[in-house]
Amino acid sequence: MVNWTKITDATRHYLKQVFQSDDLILSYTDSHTPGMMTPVVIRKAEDIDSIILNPICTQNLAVYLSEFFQNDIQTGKPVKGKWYITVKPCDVRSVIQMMADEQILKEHIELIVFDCDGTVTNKNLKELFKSEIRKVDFNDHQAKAETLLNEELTADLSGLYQVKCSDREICSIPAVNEFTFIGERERFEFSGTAKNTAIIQDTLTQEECFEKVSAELSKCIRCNACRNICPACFCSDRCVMDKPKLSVPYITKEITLDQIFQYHLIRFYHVAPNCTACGECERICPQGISLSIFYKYLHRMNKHLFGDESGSSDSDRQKLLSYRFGEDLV
Amino acid sequence: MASNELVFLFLCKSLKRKRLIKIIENDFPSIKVIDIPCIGRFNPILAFKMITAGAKGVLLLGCDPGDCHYREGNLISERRIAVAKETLHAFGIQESRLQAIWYNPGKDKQILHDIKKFLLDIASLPVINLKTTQKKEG
Ligand code: SF4
Ligand code: SF4
Repeated sequence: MVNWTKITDATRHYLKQVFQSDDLILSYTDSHTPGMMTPVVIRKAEDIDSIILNPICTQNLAVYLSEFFQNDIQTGKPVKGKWYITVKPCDVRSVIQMMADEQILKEHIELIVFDCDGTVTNKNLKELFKSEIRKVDFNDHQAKAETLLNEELTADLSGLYQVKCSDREICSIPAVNEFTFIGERERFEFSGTAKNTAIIQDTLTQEECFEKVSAELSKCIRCNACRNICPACFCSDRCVMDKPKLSVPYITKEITLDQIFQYHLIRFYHVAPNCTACGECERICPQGISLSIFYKYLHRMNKHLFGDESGSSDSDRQKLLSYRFGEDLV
Repeated sequence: MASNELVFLFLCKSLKRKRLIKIIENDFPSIKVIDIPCIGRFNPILAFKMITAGAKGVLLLGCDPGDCHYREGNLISERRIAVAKETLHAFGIQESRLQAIWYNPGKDKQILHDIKKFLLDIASLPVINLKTTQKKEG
C-alpha cells in the first residue's frame, strides 16, 4: 500500500529541512501533458513545493546527473553544494553504477529513495483511459482521471506496471551505504500482477532467437533515442555512432539491417558491464521495439561474468578498461 | 571451404610471426591475415561488423597470458572477448564464430593445428550477410 500524497508531502518536508543555497534538487513535477511527469531541477527553496511523486514518474533521473557533471567539468566550474536526487528503488542502481564509473562525484550526491509499487508508462495510461484526460490522481493501485468532457473515470493499475516492476532482481534497493528512505514499508513486495520475465535466449533456439532479433530490429529507425536515454551510455560527444568518418568506419549512418545490427551490437557491448536493466531504452523507443530481449540477458550476464550485479557497489569496476594482475579474468 | 568464405585472423605483430603468416597465406586461401600491434588493441566491434557483413568467423592470435609485450594486453582482451561472445549469443549468432588462441611466437605447429580446428568448427555455419538482407518495412 503506497499513499502517494503522503510520500510527496514527506519528500517535500524532508527537502525543505536539508536544503541550503548552492544545493540542487533533481526530481519530478507535473508536465503540460496530462498523464506524464517531467524531470525538474530545483535551485530555490520555494520551488520545492512543485515536486510531485506518483506512479507515472517513469523517467530514470540518473541520466541527467552525468550530463550536469560533464557540463561543470568541461566549463571548469567547481561543483558546489549537495545534489539531492529523488529516485525509485530501481534507479538507485543506475546512480551507484555511475559512481563506480566515475561519471559523478560520490561526495556531492545525496540519494532520496521513495517507496514505489510499480510505474506505468504514458502509453499504457493512455490505452487505459482511451479518452483524452485532463488530470489524473493516484492512490495505491487506483487512478482517478478527469477527462476533457469532465467525466470522472477510475481504473485499476495493478496489471499495467512495467515488466521490471515485477522482477525482484531489478526492483530492490542495493546495499548502499547511505540514502534517505521515504515511505513506510520495510520490505518490498510487489502487489500488482506479475508479468513474464523469461529471457528469450534461454527459451528459444539460436535460429529462432536470431529471427526474433532480426524481426524486432528491422523496425528500428536509428533515432538514437535508446542511446541518449541510457544512463550506462555516457560517452556523450565521443560516441562512435556519431563518428562515421573514422579511419576505421565501425558504423555508418545508413538505416540498413546490417548497420542497425551493428548499432545494437555496439550498444550491447559498450553498456555490458554497466547496464542495470532499468528498461529506459525500451520505454523510450518510438518504434516499440522490445529491447528487453537484450537488457534482461545483459543484466544476468553481468552477474555471471563479473560476480556482482551492476550497480551494487560504488567501488571501481570498469571491467573492460582495466586489469590488475592476479584478478580473475572473467 | 571455398575461398570466398572469408575468415579473418588477427595476430599481434612480431618479427617472429613472419614465417607463420606466409604459411597461413599459402595453405589457407580463405583466411585473411591482419597484423596489429597487440591483441589488447583489438576492438570486438570490428568483429561484429565483419561477421554481420559476411565473414564466417574471426580468429585472434595472441601471446600466452602474462607474456604480452605490453604487459596486460592479452589479459584485458580475453575479458573483452568473453563479453563479445556473449553479445553474439544474445543476438542469436553462434559464439564459435569469434575465437581466440594464445600462443607465443615460435609455436607454429600448435597454432596451425588450432587454426584447422577453428575452421572445422565454423565450417557448417551459414554465412550471415545482412548487407544483402532487405529491411522489412514496418
Ligand atoms: S536497460 Fe537500457 S537504458 Fe537501462 S542501462 Fe540497460 S541499456 Fe541502458
Ligand atoms: S530507440 Fe528504438 S528506433 Fe530508436 S535507435 Fe533505439 S531501437 Fe532504434
